[in-house]
Amino acid sequence: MKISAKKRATAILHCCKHIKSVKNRCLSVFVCSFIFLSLVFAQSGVLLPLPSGKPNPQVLSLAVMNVEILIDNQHATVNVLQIFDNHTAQTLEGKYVFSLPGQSSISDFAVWDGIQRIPGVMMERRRANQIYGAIKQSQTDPGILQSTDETESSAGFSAKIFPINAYGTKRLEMEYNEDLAIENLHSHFTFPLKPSFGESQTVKDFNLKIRVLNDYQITPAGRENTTYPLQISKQEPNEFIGEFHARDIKLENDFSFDYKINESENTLSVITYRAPEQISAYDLRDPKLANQNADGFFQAQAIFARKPDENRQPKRVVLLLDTSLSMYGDKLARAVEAVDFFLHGLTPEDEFNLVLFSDEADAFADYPVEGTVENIEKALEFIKNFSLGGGTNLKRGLQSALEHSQRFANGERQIILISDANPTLETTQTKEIEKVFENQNAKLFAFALGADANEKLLRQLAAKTHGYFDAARETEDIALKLKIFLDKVGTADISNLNLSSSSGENFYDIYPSGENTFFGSSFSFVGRYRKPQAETINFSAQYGRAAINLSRELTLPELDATHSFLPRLWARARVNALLQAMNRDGEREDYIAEVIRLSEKYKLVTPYTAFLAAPRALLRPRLIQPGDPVIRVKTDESISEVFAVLPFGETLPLRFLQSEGVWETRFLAPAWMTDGSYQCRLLLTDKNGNGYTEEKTFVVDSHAPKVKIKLEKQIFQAGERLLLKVSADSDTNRLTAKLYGTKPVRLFWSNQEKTNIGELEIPKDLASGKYNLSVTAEDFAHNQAIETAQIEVLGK
Amino acid sequence: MRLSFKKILGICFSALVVSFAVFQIFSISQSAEKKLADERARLIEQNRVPFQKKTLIPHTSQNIQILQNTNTVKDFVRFQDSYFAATTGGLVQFSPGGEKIRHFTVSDGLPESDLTCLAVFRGELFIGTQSENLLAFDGENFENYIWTDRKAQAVTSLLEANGKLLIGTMAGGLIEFDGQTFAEIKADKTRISAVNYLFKNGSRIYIGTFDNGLWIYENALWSHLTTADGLPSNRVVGIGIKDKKLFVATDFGLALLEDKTFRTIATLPALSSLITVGDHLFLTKASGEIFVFNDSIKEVAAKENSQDARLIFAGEKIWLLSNQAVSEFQGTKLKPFGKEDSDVLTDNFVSAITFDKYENLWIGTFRRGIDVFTAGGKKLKHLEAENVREINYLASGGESVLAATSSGLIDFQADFSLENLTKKDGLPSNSVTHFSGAFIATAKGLALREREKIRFLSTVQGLPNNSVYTILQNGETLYAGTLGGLAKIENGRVAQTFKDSNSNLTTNWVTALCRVDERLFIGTYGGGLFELLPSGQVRSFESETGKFTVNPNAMFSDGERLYIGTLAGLKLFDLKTQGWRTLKNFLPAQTVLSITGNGEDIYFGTTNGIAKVRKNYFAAGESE
Repeated sequence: MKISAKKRATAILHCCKHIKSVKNRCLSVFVCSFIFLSLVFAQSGVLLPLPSGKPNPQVLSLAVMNVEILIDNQHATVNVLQIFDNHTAQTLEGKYVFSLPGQSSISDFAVWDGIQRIPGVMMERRRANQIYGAIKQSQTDPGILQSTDETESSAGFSAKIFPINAYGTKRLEMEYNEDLAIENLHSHFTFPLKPSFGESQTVKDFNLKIRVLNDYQITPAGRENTTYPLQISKQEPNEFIGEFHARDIKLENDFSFDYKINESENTLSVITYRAPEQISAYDLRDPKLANQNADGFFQAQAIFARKPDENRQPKRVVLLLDTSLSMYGDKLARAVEAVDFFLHGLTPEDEFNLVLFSDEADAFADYPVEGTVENIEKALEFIKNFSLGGGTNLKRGLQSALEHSQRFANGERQIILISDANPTLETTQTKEIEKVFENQNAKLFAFALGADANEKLLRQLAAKTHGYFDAARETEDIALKLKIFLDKVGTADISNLNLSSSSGENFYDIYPSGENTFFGSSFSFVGRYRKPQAETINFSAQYGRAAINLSRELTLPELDATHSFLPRLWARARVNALLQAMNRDGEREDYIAEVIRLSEKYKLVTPYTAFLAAPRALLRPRLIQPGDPVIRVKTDESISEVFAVLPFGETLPLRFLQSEGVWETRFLAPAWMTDGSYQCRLLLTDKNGNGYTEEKTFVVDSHAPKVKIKLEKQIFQAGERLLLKVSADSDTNRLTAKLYGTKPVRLFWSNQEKTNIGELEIPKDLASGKYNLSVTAEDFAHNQAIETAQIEVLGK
Repeated sequence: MRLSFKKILGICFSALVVSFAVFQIFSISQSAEKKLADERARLIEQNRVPFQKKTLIPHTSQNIQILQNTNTVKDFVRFQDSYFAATTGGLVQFSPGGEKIRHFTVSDGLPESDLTCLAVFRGELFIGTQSENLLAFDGENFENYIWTDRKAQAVTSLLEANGKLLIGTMAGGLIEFDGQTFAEIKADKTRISAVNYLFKNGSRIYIGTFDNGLWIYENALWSHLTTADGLPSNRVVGIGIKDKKLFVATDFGLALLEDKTFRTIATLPALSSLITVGDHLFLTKASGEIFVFNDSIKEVAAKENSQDARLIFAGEKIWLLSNQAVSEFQGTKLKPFGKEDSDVLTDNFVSAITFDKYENLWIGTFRRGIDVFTAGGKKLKHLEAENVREINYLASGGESVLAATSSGLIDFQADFSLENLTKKDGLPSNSVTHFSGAFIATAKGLALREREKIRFLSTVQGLPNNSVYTILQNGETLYAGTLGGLAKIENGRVAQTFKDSNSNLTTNWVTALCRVDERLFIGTYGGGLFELLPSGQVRSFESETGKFTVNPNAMFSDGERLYIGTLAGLKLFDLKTQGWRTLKNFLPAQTVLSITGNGEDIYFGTTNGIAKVRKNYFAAGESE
C-alpha cells in the first residue's frame, strides 16, 4: 500500500506473512531460474532490479564483494559473497546475473533471507518434476534446469531474487569450479569483473584473496595486474597468497592471474584426499549406500616439461574447411578467422593445401603450395570467392584431404579439420567415417565449431589418429584457443598413457583426463584407493618411438582433507564414464542410480538430474534483429497455451508449430521502440488447466555496428608496427582488423586511449603498394559490419 | 424556577463561549475548505493538459475505396438508438437487431482506423484511438482532441464518473475531461502510466494498469496494490464487486481483496475481462472461454478460435467482443450479433500485395496468411497454415505466385497447391524477406538457386551485412540491400558496396529498391530516398524531403510516379516534375507496408487495411 510509511510497513508485513514456513520461504525467495543465457549485461554478480532489468545503483548497489580463489593443483574453486543494498522504500524483485568463465561449472548457490541461508538443491529430474508440480500454484513457479540451454554466447548463470526488503540488504553466495589448463608450462586464471556490455559496477567494499597451491614449484607470471595490484602475503615455491582490498572501486577490468610451473624435467605428482564421507538424503533410500565409504581419492598428474631437442620440422598440412549450410553465419565467420590465423603462421618452408567441402570437395590447388604470403592470400581469396552452401559430406571431405595430403613431398601428413561435424550426406555413421583413416599415416587435428557441433565424433577421429581436438562456440573469443590448438600442429603427441601401482589392487575406478597430450602440458588420472599404505605409482607414455616412464613413491594417508575438490573431480570423471558407457551399450538401472546419486551429492547437472529451479519455457531469440520480429518459445509437452505480454501494451497468442515443436508469434515493434533490452511476460497454461507465468528478456538491435578507423598516418614502412584506433558503437562485441599478409588481430577497449586499439605488424617483405586495411565489427545481436581504409606501404 | 443572575450570566457566558467556539470551528472549516478548494484549483491548473480541437472533414472521393476488416471489436456501446463498435478497421454502426448501418472510415474523417475504446459522455460518443488521442462523435461528424504537451500513445480506456470523462492512456497518464478542459490526475504527484482499465463503485475509482497493479482513489486519498500485496499479476484487466467484496481480474488470475491483501481465487493465464451482472461475476480469457464465478469458477461457454476476447455489459445485455466480431452472451450460449461478412480481409495488417496473371489480388498479411480476391472483390480463397502465416513479400511468377515468408519461400500454383523451400532445402534461413528470379534474400544472407543446389553469399564473401532485405536484378548485375549497406553483385561476387562511409548514403539499412527506366532508387530505414546514378555516385533527396523511413519493399512505380510507403504516410515522387508530395488522409493507417498497382488503380497495404486508389486521384488538384 502506498498511503503512508506505516501502511507501507504493513504491506511489507503482509508480504512476509505469505512466507509461512521455511519451505514456503524457500519457494518464495528461491524463485530461482538457474538458466544459462546470453548475458547482455553479463558481468560478475550483478543484481538487476526488475522489471527494468537494467543495472541501477540508485536502486540496488553492491555494498560488499568478497572473492576467495583457491587454485589447488590447477583446480580452481572460487567463492563469491556479495551483499546488495536496496535504496528504495519498496520491496523489490531482482535478477542476479553472473557470467561464468568458459569451462567452469557452478557448484553452489545460496540466498540469505534475513538469518536464514537458503541453498540451491540438485535433485533427480523426476523428483524435481514432482516438486515442481506440487508448488506450481505459487506466485512465481520454479522449474528445472535442463542440460540444454538457451545460450547463444558465453555461459551465464542467473537467478530471480525475491524479496529484497525496502532499505534492506540481500546477501548472495556462489561457488564455481574450473580446471585450468597447462599450456607451455603456464596456467592462466581469470575472474570476470568487467561487464561485457553496459556500465561497470561500483563496489563499496571489495576484497579479493587468491591462494595458489601446487605440488610443483610455481612463479607468478604475466604482466603485473595494474587494476588490482596484489599485496603478497606469502610467496613460496609451492604456494602463493595475494590479497587486494579497495573501497568504492569501479570494476572495469577482469582480474587475472598467470603462473609458471618451474619444472625443467618431466615430473609426476600425486595428491590425495581421505576424510569421513557425508551421506546424502538420496543415499539413505538404499541401506547399502547409507554406509560411509572410507576409501580415499587421488590424482596423479604428470607434467611433460622436457621435450627432446628437435629442429623445427616443416609443416605439411591440408586445411579442410566445412562450407556447408550448417556452418552458415557466425560459425563460418569464426572458421574463416581460424584459417586466416593458421595460414599466416606458416613459413615458406611449410607446404599446405586448402580443401573446402560441403556436398562436394574443392581444393585450392592440385598440388601443395609453399606457405608464402602470396599463396596464403590467394588461398583466402579462394574462400572468399567460393559460393557456400549444400549438405555436409564429411567422409568425402576427409577422403579428399587425405588424397591431397599424399601429394606432399615428404614429412608427416597432417589434416586440420574445421567443422561442426554434422554429416548429412553419403554416410552419417561414425564408424564409416572412421574407416577413412584406416591404414593412413595422417594425423587429424579437429577444431569443432558451434554449440551443436558433434564433438564426440571429432574427438574420436582425433584420438584415433593421435591428433588433437578442441572445440569452441561460434560466439566465443577463439583467439587463445586457436593459438593453443594450432601450436600442436606439426608436433608429435604423447600417447599410450598408463598408470600402475606397486600394490595392484589398491587403486580402482581410475579415469584418465584424455587420450593423449603434448609437451608443455599435463596429463592426469583420478581414482580411488582402498588402504592407506605406502605405494609406488608408475606412469608410462610413448612419444614417437621413445618411452617416457615416471614414478613416485608416497604414503597414501589415513586422513588428509587438504585437497577437498578431489571427490567432486573424481565423481565427474566417474559420471562421464558411466554416461559414455550407456551411450555405447544402452541404459542400465544401476548406472542411472549411481549417476543420480553422484550428481546429487556433488551437484552435477546430467541428463538424469536437475537443479531446482529453472524456466518452464525458453524464449528465443533473445536477440531480435531487424526483419526477425519473432518470439519463439520452447516449452515442455504439457503446455497447451502460451501468450506473450509485450512491453508496449500488446498481448499476443503464440501458435504451436508442430514441425518445429515451438510456439511462435510475430510482432511489429512500434516506431518509438528504440534499440535496447525489454521485458516480455509469458503466460502459460498446461493441459490440466494450471497456469504459469515467466518473465523473459529480449533485446531489439536494429543497427549494424558503426565503425570508424583512425590512422595517425597513411604511409607506412614494411616491417613497421601499425597502431590502430577504432571507434565503434557501444554494443560492439568483437572487433577484428586484417591487413594483407598479416594474421587477423583482435582490437580491445583501452581505458587510457578511450577507444579500441590493436597493433598490426606489416610484413617485412611486403611489396610497395596500396593495401586495404579492414576492420570487422560484430555486435551482440551478431549484426556485422566491415569498414575498410587504404594505406600505402613502402617496401624495403 | 428562577435562575439567579449569576447562573444566567454563567449560561450566557457559556453560550458565548460555545458560539465563539462554533464560529471558530466554522471559520477554520471554511478556511480549510477554501484552502482545499484553492489547492485543488491550483493542482487542476498545474495539471491542466493543453489541447487542440480539430473538426475532422470527411475525405470522400469516388477515386478511393477502403478495404478493411471490422471483425476485431475493441469496444461496444449503445448510442442514439444504435450500437457502435470500435474496431481495428474503423467505427461501425449497427441497428439494435444487428444490421450493419454504416461503416465509418478514414474517408469519413477518422484520423486513423485503429479505435480502442468508447464511452457516451454529455450526449456524444467519445472514441479512444491508438495514436490520435481522443475523438468526439455526434452521430454525423467527428472532432479530434489532441493533447499537445505529451505523447500519450494509445487511449486505452474511457469511463464517465462524477460528471467527468476519465481517459486512461498508455503513456500520457490518467486524464479527466469536464467537457471544456482536460486535466491530468496524478497519484501523489506521480503520473499513472500504462492505464489499462477503469472502473467506479460509489465514490471509489479503480485504475488498473498494464504493469503496475491497481490504484484506488477515494476522498483525495490514493492507495496502490501490486503483486507485493498478493495480486496474481500487475496487469489488471477487470474489477467486480460481489457481496461488497472486491474481486480483481489480472491477466494471470482472479483475486479477492481480504484485509488489504489479495488472495488468489483462480489462476487463469490470459484472463482478459471481468464484469458483474446481478450476483454473478463473469470472466473471459483472451482465447474466448467464458467463466462464471459464484463459489467456484466454472466454464459456461466458449467462442472457438477467438483472440482478444473480452466481455462487456451494454444496453442491458452481456456481449463478447473478439476478433470474430460481437456475440451476445445468453447464459450458456453465444449468439452472433448480425451477419458475418465473408468477403472481407482476414486481417487488416497487410504486409504484401500483388496481382496474379488472372488479375486476382493476393493480399499477404503479417500473421494470418494470404487472402485471394477476384477482380470483382469476391474472396476466392484464404490460405493459412503452419507454413503460410507471416508473409513478407508476394510476386507473380508466371503461372504461380511466390511468397516470401518467415517459413521459407512458397510457390503457389494455380490450384493453390504449394511448394515450400526452407532451410531443409538449403536456405540459410527460413526468414525470407524478398526474392527476384533465382535470388532469395533472407535474414541470414543472400541465396542463389542453381539447378538443384542452393549457394549463398554472406559477409565472408563481402556482403555488407547478412540481413538482406531487398534485391533487384538489373541485367547481369544484382543489387542487394542489407542492414549494413547496398551491395553490387556481378558474376556471383560482391563487386562494390555503398555505405555511409564510402558514398552519400547516410543510412546503411537499405530496405527497398526500385528501378524506373534507367533510374535506380534506394529506400532506406530512417534516411529517406537515394538514387544510384549511372556514374556510380549516390544522390540524396534529403534536402527536398528530409529524412524518413521506407518500409521493407514498399516502393512501386507506375512509370509516372514513384510511390514510397513510410511509417508516416505515402511519399510520392513525380518522375516528370521531380516534385514531392506526402499523402496521409486517405490511408487507413500511416504505416504503409506494401504497394502494387495495375492499369487503373494503385493499392496501398497498411497496418489497418488497404486503400485502393484510382491513378487519376494523384493528378494535381484532387489529392491533399
